[in-house]
Amino acid sequence: MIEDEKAGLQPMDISDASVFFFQADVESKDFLTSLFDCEGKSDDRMLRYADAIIDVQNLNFDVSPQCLQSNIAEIITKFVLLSQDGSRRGLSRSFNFIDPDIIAGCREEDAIEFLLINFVRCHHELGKSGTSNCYKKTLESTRKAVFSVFVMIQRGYLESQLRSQHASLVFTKRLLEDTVSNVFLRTLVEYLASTDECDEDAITETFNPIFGILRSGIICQRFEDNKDEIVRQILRVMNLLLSIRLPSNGPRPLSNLLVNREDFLPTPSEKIQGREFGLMSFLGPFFSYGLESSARRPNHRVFVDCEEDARKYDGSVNTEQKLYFQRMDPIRTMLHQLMLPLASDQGSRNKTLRWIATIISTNDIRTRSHYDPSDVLCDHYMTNFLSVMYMFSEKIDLSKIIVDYPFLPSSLINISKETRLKMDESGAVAFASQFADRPDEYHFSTVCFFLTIAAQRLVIPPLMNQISEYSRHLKELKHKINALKEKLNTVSGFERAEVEKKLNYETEHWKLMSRHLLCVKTQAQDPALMASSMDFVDKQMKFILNLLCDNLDLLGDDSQLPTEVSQMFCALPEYFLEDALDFYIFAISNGMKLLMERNADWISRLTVLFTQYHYIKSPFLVSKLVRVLSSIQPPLWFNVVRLRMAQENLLMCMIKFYSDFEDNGDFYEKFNVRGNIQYMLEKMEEDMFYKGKFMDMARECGAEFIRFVNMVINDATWCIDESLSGLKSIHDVEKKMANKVEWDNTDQEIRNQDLGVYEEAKRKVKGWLGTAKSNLKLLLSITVNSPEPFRTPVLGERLAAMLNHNLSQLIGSKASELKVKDPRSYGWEPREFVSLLISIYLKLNMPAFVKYIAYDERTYSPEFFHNAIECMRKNSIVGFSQLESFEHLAEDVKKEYEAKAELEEEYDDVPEEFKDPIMDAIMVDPVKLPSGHVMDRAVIERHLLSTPNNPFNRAPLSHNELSPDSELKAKIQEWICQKRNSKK
Amino acid sequence: MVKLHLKTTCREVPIEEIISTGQIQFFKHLSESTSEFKDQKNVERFRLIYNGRALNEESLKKITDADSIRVVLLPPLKTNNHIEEEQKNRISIALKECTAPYTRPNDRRLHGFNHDFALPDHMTTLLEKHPQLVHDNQFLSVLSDWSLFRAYCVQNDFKDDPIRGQFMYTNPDFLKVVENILSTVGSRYGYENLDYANVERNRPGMLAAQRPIGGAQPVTHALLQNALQAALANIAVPPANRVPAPANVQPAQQQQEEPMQQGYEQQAATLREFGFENDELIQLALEQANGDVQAAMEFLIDLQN
Repeated sequence: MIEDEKAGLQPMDISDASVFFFQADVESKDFLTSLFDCEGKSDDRMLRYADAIIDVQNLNFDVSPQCLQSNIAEIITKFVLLSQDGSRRGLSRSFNFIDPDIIAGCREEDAIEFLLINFVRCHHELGKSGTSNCYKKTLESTRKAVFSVFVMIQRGYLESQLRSQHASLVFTKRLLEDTVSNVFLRTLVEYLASTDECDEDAITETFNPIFGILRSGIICQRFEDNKDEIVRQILRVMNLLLSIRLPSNGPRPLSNLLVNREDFLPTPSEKIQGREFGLMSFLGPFFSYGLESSARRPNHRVFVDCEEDARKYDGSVNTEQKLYFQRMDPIRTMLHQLMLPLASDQGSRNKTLRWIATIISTNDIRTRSHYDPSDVLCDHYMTNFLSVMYMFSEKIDLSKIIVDYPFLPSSLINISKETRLKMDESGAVAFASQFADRPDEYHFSTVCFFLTIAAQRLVIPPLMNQISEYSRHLKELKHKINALKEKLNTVSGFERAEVEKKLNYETEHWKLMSRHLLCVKTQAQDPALMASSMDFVDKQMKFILNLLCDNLDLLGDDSQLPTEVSQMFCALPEYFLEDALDFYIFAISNGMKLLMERNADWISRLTVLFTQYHYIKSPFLVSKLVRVLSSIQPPLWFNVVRLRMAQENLLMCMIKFYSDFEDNGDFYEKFNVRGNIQYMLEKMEEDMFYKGKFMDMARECGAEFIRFVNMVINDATWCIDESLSGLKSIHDVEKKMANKVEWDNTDQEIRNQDLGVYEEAKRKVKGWLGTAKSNLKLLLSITVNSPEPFRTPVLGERLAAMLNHNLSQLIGSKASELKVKDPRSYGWEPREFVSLLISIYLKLNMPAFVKYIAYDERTYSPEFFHNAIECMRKNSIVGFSQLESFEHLAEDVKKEYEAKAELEEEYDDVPEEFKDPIMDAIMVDPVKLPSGHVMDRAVIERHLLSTPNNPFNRAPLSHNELSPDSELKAKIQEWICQKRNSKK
Repeated sequence: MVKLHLKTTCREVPIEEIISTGQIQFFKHLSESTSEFKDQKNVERFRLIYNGRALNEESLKKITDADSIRVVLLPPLKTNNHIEEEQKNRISIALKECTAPYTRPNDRRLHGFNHDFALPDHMTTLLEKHPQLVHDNQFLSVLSDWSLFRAYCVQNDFKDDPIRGQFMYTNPDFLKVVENILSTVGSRYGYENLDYANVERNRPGMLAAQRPIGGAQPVTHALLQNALQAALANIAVPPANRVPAPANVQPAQQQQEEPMQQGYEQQAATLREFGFENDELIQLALEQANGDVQAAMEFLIDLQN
């Protein structure tokens, strides 16, 4: 038989081509057979391997590639449908959201394993050189067949036999374990995206379940469970999938797929909208990993036994906090990497930016002082979000930012209701209308820059507010605890037990609040976040200053500053600047080390901005700017005083703003502002340039400087009065309490009332005494450098009256009313106070001021000064030389006083029309008011310094409305001459 | 002859026969003549697959007799997108019944849910019980956050929203999971003895039978304030003024409660050591927290604030 076959072949005319095809068939069959090599497999799987091999032998290779693919696909499908449940190996739960009981050894696992292995084999064979075209066709068809079977399983076409959910779970697990080659993924996506190979829904139905499982995975991770490794793997896989590009520099199909999911950008709901959108949108849970604690639900499981660390205010952090920073750094970086392909791809960018914008807009109530934390996203979520925004903004080139963007109708940030830097509401509407017809598409840099500014607003100020609020709360609790501890020393028996219980309760409460505060501080003090904030805010300030002056040269002089500010600057929302200032306030106290490592351009920019503060409408915004500058300590402070551009205007702006803040209604903020400016003036005194400049201004005695000094006198008067009246109240109550018998017999209600007065008075003194001292020191500084302003009646008379009055309070007959039990606890040192007053007197020892002292009818008398001198000598309140100088001053004042008495004797019949209607003294320089009234110029000018209105009818009044009454002045002069002549 | 693959068998059919018959008629014939598809009456689920792709009438014409194709059934969810209104109503009613005890906004016991939903092992524990939730990530989001869970499941705020909350109707385990989580967490905060068997039994009959609300009464702010006022005045609440126990509470339940009360003595002593003074309040807090000292302490501190 065999010999017959051989004999039969020999006569045939076999061409070379036929031999070649035959060879290729053999090669193809050998390869396909090898895929189903059952060697080493267990016996119960032999049948499906044998069946597959039989089918391979029956294949016809002389067909189209699609036809060949379909036949190979069927062989593979039949094979995998006969997959067996394998052994339950490795039952450990490596991922807490994937049940090992379901997928370990399941049929789907076996099937996918087979497909992955065979893809590798095809890929390997295709990589060889020198293969025939026929063989290559077979390899290509086999590879596509592998994909088509994979897709069929994933899409549920084989659902009753191979479960698509299990297959997705198996494949996702493999992705997380990094056991799926990148080539497989890329080629699979290529296959799915090809319209020749697959329908439109294929890629969606294949990968959406995988994205869903990854999302479920991230939802299940909790920071306190230390699931960082799982989180990192999930983020890595997300980035891996989203980054696939076809071709290598083309679009990203999976990024497009993701943003077109229904849950990527859901319509915000009306209820709990910030939290609902943030957690229910696809991307939301990825930002939700972190240290969780909120006012509604403080986290008391962390920072146990670290409660004392909450009291640190220098920005230092403990070991546990450092551990948090180290853990979150790589996770935030990977979050950014996840977002990068979504933001980079042309097809997915717009929806991604809209998602970012919606997170911002739905959590907008975080900018309010009070909001329900359960309605918005938590601090850790927003901190992660802001970190990613900062990373996006790292490489933004300011020169490419389109300034118009925030004002466009299509802008993703809505500033229509925001207060502007220097523009009222109608002006803002009119300004925005010019942008109505601009195009809708803008470069990513522009959109991202403004979105980051808006995101920053939801994070930094709220964290700062929480820190200051909880710090204050903890301080109060600590006071309670200390008071209870002291009380514990004075009670015994049953009462002691009661105090102990209360002490334990308050201590536990303090611990819980301390842990929450540490959680908040951990969010805010992350050095990586603060470094990013510094870089971005620097960019932000540069942007703002560029609108003030294009291409501002920080080393140049102020001639480059414009005389008129641009409308664009005026139209900027206030929060663009305010949030930057808030951040600097925080960074100066918490991140000084990081600030020192950076260039100090931000200081120069803030200083320049302050010299142009009239371009900012809100005085509160300027006061915040003052607060930042005031917080700057040497050596950074030298960047303020050395700035060339500000040298002409800085000092004048400080003095002018000190006065300008008078009429803004916020009483306490006024004293904060002025305290800050005083502190800046103190620091400036060490700089020779500004010291000289200050003396020049004082010597020139310009209107602004006089106004400034008048405000200082006003403040000193007010603060000292408040402090002394508080001390009197304390004295009165302590006097009552000293009489123990009478005090114990007093009615409980009256006693409680007195104790209330007592506490209120204590608070008053503590609050105002420091400011009072600062004001006196500032006045002393002015008198030391240049006493010129006090030669003028408007200032000299007021200062003399104030000094006399307070000296009489401290040394006069009522001084004993200021004695209190523990004066140092309020910072009250009477000797220091008297010394300050005397120093000011002595610096103003000049004829004009001597006269003003003498003319203070309300307080001054020769006996008063004599008694004061005797008291100071007896108690050694001031040094000998000072006392001697003061005695000389007293002699001069006495002479002036006696001369005044003689003069008054002569003028006792002065005509009524020659007298000032308010001071009832003879007028020197009469002026006529618009209302027709006539006053002495010195009196009305002093009034206008504090209150720019007509004292008779309260109508607005300014200096240039005062008309000199020359005729009346001549009459007065004539009358005085006649008096003197008649005396002679 | 094209190779036509069914679930487990393969037959050879001339492609012209399929084309001339039309897919719909061909599928009908298949469901009648083969054992593999005999129970499938909905021919809309049938598809012919070629190289992983579903064939339409046009692409079917390109198939040759040398090809292989496969008959598959689409998964049920892909063909049944419409959820009947009746089914929605049924689920809404059942949800309302099992969440009724938890809907009073002034019930301070609900704070415990906020606490437990934030515990580190909350999600891990949940998935161990219901591993299939990994495939319903929207529902999983709701289960991970108390604010969302309350809005979606307890108060059902989004029942009229056509987009939100679809998992209520598409996830067959929805009611089971909700009931389970409510009873597990609720039992720690004084909601025990709720009789879910009644809910199960009454559901077919759609009867809202009057059921006893076991355990403590809802703890409203007013009740707590009254207790606090009494504590501050050092006056114990007279027995007559206390909230009366439900009239229909069975004696067996009362019997069971007493041992639990005794079990809290140690916890009460701990709270007293921390300086909480009023035994009435301490007992109340421990009942709400089901004996958890930490949760009870938070409860008392929250009351003070």
